[in-house]
Amino acid sequence: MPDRLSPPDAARRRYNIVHTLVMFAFAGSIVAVARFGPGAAPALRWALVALPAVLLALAVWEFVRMVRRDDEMMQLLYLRAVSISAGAVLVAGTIWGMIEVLLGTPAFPAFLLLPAFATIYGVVFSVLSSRR
Amino acid sequence: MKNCLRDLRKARGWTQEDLAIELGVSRQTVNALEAGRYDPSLPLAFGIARLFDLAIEEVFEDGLEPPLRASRIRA
Repeated sequence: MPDRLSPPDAARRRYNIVHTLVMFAFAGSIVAVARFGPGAAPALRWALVALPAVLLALAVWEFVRMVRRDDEMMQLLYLRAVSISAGAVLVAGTIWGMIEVLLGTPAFPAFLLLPAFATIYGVVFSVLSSRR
Repeated sequence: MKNCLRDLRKARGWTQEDLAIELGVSRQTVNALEAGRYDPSLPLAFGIARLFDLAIEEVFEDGLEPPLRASRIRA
């Protein structure tokens, strides 16, 4: 790791650290909801469900902050990857929904939309950046 | 678009990271610029030219202008 980093590189390194911590906290909060949620009082259950939601919002906020601090080429890559991934998830979700309505297949769990988007985004971003 | 950014950087003894810090961009962007895989915006192109005390057309070549003369590259 170089001693000095340009502001975009420093912002990305900070993001990687914060994002990793937030994702660990998110995984822990999901485990907490699954473990303590079912038998808990309504107020506690709401608090348990709010925790992963707040952590997801924090992850999105950190991503936007990192994109804003990066340079023009990286911003172009991020926006292209987000556009392609969002389009892929929307199309796949719509097709799934049509099949669900017309053929009666099981409903897609909506809470998996963001993880599906993040997975596709990771692949798309890797492909796009390897071409730069 | 071709450019002589790599030659200019090496003439000053800079690493890609050094140039990235000078320009305020990421090292990945410097790498893409040097390889000709990314054409910079006008503000960034002006910034690069200003950093090396050259005109834009001396750094970037659109295929119509003669290439940069090596004697203009200053350390």
